[in-house]
Amino acid sequence: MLKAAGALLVILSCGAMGYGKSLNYSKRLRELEEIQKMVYFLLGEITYRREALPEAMLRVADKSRPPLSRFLLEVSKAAKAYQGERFSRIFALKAREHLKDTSLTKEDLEGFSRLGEDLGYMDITMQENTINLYLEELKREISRTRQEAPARKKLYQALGILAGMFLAILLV
Amino acid sequence: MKQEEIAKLFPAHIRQALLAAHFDMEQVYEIRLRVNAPLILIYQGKEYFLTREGEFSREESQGCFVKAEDLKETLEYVSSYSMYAFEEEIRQGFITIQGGHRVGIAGKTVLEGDRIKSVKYISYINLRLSHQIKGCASPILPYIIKNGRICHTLIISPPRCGKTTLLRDLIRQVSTGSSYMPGVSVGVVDERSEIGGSYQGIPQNDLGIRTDVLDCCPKAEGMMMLIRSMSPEVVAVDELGDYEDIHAIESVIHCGCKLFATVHGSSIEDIKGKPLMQRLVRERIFERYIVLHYQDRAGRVKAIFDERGTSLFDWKRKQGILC
Repeated sequence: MLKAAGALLVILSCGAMGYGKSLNYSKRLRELEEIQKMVYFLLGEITYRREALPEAMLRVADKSRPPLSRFLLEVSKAAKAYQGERFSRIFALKAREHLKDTSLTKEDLEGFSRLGEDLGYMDITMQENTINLYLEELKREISRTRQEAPARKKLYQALGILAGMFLAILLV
Repeated sequence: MKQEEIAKLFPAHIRQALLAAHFDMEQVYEIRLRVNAPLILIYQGKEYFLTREGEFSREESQGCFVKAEDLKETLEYVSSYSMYAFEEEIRQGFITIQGGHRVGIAGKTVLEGDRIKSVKYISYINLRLSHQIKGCASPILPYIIKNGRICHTLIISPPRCGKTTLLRDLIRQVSTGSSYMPGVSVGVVDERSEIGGSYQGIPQNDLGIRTDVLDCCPKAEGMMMLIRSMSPEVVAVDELGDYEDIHAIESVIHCGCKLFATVHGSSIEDIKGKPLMQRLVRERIFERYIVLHYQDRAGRVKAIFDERGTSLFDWKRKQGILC
């Protein structure tokens, strides 16, 4: 009886882990979409309003949700402090600091930090091209993630339960 | 004006020197950075080298030495890491920053046809600090008000003689009101953000309670826009020069608005020598000409004339008015 209960618990925990992983996948999709929305706002601030980066980020922070809003506020604050750091470094450091607890992958974060490397560099056309290039990459990633989502989610959930069953057999 | 606000626009070693210096920031007119040359400060109208310890020196070798990277870093700070946001200003050779201070730049120009597209290899920076001297226009007011109405006024002055400072206070006093007349609505077309020193659309300098400011707007277009939208009684602009400006002035005058303007020059004769301005003088558009000069300090009134060229004030006969 005790063994059966233990086996059931193992299966349930592994199943929950698989389910958690599948939820993480949906969360990443939402976060990528949130970044996309934020970058569109930023593009508008830069091309239409011709706002400087710290101001543009401050304005977009109002329209974004945490942790992106916190990231934008912190970048704006650090950029306005003029402490001798290059903007790309400020952007990358703050991205690491504020987006580390998200479901974004290492590649997602690297791509996002790369956006910061070219922001502010040269003229308005360059800004537009840089942001549009990133938006295209992001769009592709979102669409790929969305397409794969149902299958991946099922896979994670099934793998969780199967791993639980396998472990239960081994232990029992 | 806070010393830290100005100092933070520069790289660390210059910043430290500026913060260590014991001076009245209100007396600093310019901070000049030239690549491979010492930093120069114009303080109380005199030129000094600033040492690393923040002392004034006449010895070139003791001055803070400026390298190419310092200029690059300064530009990043001045433009808030966003050179793209200042494309138009860079084309004109300066960037206006928070507080209305003007950062002049020079380097190698990039041409597109016969038009300047941009400036690259920026190797010279001149930070000109904006100063507001409240009350400096008070001695002028009785001369520009005739029978209770304001006269079309042109301030003529060489660079660095205080024409914008005088115009700024004139706007403030006319807008808020003074013992000479009640306040009237004033429209300011601040093409270079020097009059109001606007930051995010809000003037950092006091321009009076009845003043509307069109910031960073070309003068000719701005004057017409203001007349249509804000119906000012007085329109004020700085540094007339283009054909479009002169054309717009005629419209302002025909709309019944009064005009305050400034122009570079040192006398009415100078202005008559400028083909575009000549007609305005000949047709007696301006009713008052205030000529400034540099005598001991900026902002001394050299002469005031009416539309006929009759002298209303002459510094040789009287003590020059301090503006």
